[in-house]
Amino acid sequence: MTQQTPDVVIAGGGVAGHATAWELARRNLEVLIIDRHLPGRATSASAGGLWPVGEAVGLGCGVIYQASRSNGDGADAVPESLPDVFRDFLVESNSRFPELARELQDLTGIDIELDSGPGLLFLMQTARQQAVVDNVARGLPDGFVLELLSPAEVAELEPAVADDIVGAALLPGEDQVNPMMLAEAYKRAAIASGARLEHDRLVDEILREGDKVVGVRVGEETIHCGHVINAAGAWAGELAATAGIRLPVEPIRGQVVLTEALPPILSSCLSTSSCYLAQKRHGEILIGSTTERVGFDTGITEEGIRGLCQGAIKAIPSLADIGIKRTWAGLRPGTPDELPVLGPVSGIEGYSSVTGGFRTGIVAAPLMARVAAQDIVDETPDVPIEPYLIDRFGNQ
Amino acid sequence: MSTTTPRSEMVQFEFDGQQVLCRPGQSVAAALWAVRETVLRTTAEHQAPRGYFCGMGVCFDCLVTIDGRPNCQACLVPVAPGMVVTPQGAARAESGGGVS
Amino acid sequence: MSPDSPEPTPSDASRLVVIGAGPAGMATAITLAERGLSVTVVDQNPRPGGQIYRYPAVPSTKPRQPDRGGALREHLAEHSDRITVLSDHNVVGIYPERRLGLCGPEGFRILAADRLVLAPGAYEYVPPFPGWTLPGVMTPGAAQQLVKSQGVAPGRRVLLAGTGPFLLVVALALHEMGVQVVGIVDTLRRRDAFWKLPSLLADGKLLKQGLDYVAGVRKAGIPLMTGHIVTRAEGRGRLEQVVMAPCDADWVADHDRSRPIVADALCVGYGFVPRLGLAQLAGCELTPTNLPGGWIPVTDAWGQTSVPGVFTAGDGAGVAGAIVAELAGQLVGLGVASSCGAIEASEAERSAEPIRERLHQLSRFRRGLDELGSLRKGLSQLADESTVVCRCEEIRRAEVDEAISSGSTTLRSLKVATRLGMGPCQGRMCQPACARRLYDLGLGSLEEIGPPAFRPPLVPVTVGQLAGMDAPGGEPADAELVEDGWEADSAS
Repeated sequence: MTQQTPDVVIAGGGVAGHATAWELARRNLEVLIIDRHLPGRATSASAGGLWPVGEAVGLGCGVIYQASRSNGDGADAVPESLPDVFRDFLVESNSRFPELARELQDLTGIDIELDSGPGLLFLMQTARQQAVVDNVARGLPDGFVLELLSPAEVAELEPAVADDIVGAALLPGEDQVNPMMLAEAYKRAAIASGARLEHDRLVDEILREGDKVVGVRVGEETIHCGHVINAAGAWAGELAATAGIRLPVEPIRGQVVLTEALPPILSSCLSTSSCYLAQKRHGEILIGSTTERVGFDTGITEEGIRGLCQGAIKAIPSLADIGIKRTWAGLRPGTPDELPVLGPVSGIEGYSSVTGGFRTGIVAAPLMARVAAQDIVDETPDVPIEPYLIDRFGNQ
Repeated sequence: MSTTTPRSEMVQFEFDGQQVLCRPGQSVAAALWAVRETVLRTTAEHQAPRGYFCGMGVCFDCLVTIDGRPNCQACLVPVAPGMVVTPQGAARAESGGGVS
Repeated sequence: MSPDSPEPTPSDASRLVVIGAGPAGMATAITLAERGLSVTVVDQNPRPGGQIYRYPAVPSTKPRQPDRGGALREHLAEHSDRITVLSDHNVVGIYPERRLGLCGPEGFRILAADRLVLAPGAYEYVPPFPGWTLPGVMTPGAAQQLVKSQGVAPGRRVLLAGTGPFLLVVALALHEMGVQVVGIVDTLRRRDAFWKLPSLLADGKLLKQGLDYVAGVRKAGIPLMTGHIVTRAEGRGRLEQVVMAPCDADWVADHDRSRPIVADALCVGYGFVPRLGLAQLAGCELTPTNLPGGWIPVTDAWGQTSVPGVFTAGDGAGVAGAIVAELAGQLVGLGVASSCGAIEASEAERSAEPIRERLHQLSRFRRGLDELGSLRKGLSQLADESTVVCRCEEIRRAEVDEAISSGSTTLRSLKVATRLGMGPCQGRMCQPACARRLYDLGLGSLEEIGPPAFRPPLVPVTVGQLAGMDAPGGEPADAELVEDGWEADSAS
């Protein structure tokens, strides 16, 4: 049990919690991470795609989200883009990964399996999709590249991809990582920098006295601290409510299919209107995902899995005979505007959120953690925190 | 042990380029074990030899490629005449530079 | 008193499904059929029998002894008007409302059940030790399959090792088929067995059977080395020799007194682990025990789990052997029949009475055996730093220890920190021993360490099969209910 009063208690040990713990611990704060790995944690369920522009322009797994929001045929949905400021946030965060991978490897010995290929390849399976992608390409600012490929060019780049496509759009530089190794590396780096971890314990309540958050309750135990960080992911909204803070984070389920290990057959990350596919370091192909509002239910459904399998075969026909090793579902921390929630609540001392990663939590984690930590220690933030403050949702 | 089956009733299949005879009904793993082929694959990470372990399909050690289909559990698949069985080597993407 | 029912259903409209055609599953199906109920049995093997009564893949050269398995198969066939056996079918998923995802020779389909009986059985427990992945090292059950079902000798010099009466059974089976068994290395010390004698005396017939096995082994000239444990398997590319050492009451090896035995097959097992995948997929509550595998489903007096309408029997509900499995299957059959209203609660009670009495008689004996076979900390100390503890992902013990010291002390957190349990076996081979080691290291209670976490599919299916692409003509098909005159449910 804790004896002293830490500077910071971080509730939640997914990638956001551990990344923030490291940022703070290396700035010499006393950090205590309290974490219980609940079923459905997004970090462990995630595909680990690092697709800043893809997500921002709506061609990553966002297409699936949008398609499932509209009632029409998913193949013709028009992608909605995320605000430019967040697109830039994601691009900036993504750019930090190579250096981060080296640094974490040196500090902890863990390889976060950062793998780059040609990029994110969005398959256009209908003429309508092609028209939509053309619009997206035209709307991109200078410096952003979206290559349009003919079916023959796609066949050369990715021989496993089906040939009955209209073409494809390639976003170079969109890579992938192993999200669990990323979180584990952040965790060990935090511990190496002096952070403490209470594992398999759950923060039940954030304790507030008036306008000041003073600590947390873990079961029967009260822990006082200078600052509480809510990194509880899909559970962050529930946790914030215990302190009377309205945080509109809710679980959004995503089902995933993982194949058995294969020799290398895919070097890009693929995206279609029905699914995305990425071949991971150990050879398995990850096929995702659904977007469902079912509370904290982490069950998988026959329809969800069927849809993903059908989409996968449509993209890579040879997958039909490949074995499935595992299926699962994770709970993304969803927010109404798809942007994360970072930083304080105005009028309340001693509390910060580092959550709401939704579909971009992995690629955004390094910068989310950095900016939130900088805010706490009054350092000039690498990027402005304002767009991500909780106050944007209205009064508390 | 297996000398009472007439040659004409035995089943012939291929393992690692060699022809193998076995009794009808035998699993691929048992048929190979009978001719002392105990190494069915080598692992991806350490290139360690693996073979028949649990005999009931729960350990996934006895994985072989059968007629081009990888990751078949040799202890569960009965031999069919003309089957082409190959031991499995590493089945992983290249590390570091992504998938080639 | 009948089990709590999910909803009252007229007996002739109930869809009853049993998963597993071992002794428990067969006994349940027969009991239900005898009471006029129709039942579907789903089984992954080509013929019913489970592991213990497996129908030989290859006809034996010796005349077949009539055995209990044959008798059960005959009873099953006698009721073929009511019992449908779906052989070569696997349950890959269990969806809400007891809908089963089945994968069989014709592909993937859905089977909806009103009452579900899980009888998946168990598999052998082998904690990791240096060299345990060498070809030539296998479980005793695997050796038994080779010799009895496949007509193949496991080796020319075969060593049995571990604990439990099953070692004697397999040794004798091998000997009878002309295989040279060079010894049995059993951790059980004679003096420990002596103190358990009172409970073992609770069933004179079973005890005699056990002593007969010991006598048989002696008569066969097979050395029985009690109070010893295998510490390493060695060889270049395959097993060539085994190292064993005396052990104490905690099964801790005295390495200073170890010695080698030349062997080309090592059949090692320390008991059995209940198969939990189905119970987990069905959402059944589990409870921890001190036996291999640690966890079993919570059940009431009729074998009903915490999920109404889902029952479990046999080794999958808690390892107790084939005789108990059959009796438990009969009991569950009565429970299911009563819960559907096919028989009166009072009749179920009456019929259950002699079964319960016999189970009670056996339970004292079983408890004695269980205590003899309960896990001791010496098993957790066999592996060294470089021993691969997760066979699928090739994770060494040193990597696990690193993760433990960074705060991963539950099965779930170890899995994400090291990949242990992420392979195709879903942790069956590594997690029970890993959990036991965490417990022996004092890192938590069995509850805190947690059960394994099975996810669908329980056996590999192809992307195409789950896409519904294997319907005739190759057109995508929506999942269809198994047809037998039932109206299809509306799609959920």
